[in-house]
Amino acid sequence: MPRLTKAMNTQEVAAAAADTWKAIKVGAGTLGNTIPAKTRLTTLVIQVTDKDRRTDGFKFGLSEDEAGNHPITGLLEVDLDNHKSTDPDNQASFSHALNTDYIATDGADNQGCLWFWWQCDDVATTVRVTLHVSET
Amino acid sequence: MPRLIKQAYGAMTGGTSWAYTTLGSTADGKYHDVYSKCRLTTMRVHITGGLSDSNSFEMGLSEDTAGEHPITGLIKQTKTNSLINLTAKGCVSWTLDQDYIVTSDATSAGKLYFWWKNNGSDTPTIKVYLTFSET
Repeated sequence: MPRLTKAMNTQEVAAAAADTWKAIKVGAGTLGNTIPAKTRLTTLVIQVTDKDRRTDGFKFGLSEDEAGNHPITGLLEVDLDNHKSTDPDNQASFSHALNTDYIATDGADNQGCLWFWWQCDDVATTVRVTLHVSET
Repeated sequence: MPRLIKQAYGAMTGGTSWAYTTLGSTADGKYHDVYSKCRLTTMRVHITGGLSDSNSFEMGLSEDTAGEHPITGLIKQTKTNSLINLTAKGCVSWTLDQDYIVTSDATSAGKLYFWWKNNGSDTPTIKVYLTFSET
């Protein structure tokens, strides 16, 4: 049997400011599906939606709570180097393979959602975040 | 059929010398002892207090309380900022994805021992979540 996969999308979200952390809700209560309480986090896709403000890089991570006090990935970083688009005139994007099992704990603000913590370097841009999860 | 996954739990106050905490079930039934034959999948080490920034630490899993029967070997976390937010808490997620079968060296079947040493001067409190699954 193939694994059943689901994707959670956010709307286009603007950074608070350059080099400033922002938490974005992913999952239940947004455009996306509910994140199962027991699941495998597979792929995270971040699309830069404002091609005129392309950041040099991101720091990011997933947390169970909006305050970031219950992180589940730790700090992740990507160096975009301004060239992570398939065409310089198009939107930049990157994907990150998580491939981690996840079981919700008491630290979660709400069952069914996670928080994408994000900081863009140098330039405050906008992104759309997609988190893929699957059956274990 | 999806794999059945469960989580073992432990908590400790870490220091600058090696110490361990027991990973396994809790009385409230939320966490479980590790199967005698299983796949260790994801380990989440979550700093809960006492350390504003995690400067590097070392860790590993062992079958026994003496640490003489390790199963992961030494794992080093050298990233200076394992935080997602400098005002929030640090965390390391470690992908194990390895099979495990309990041996006669285990101190207690179902328990694993998380060894940890902070390379800074702080004595942080941490929580450890070990996800395991059917093979």
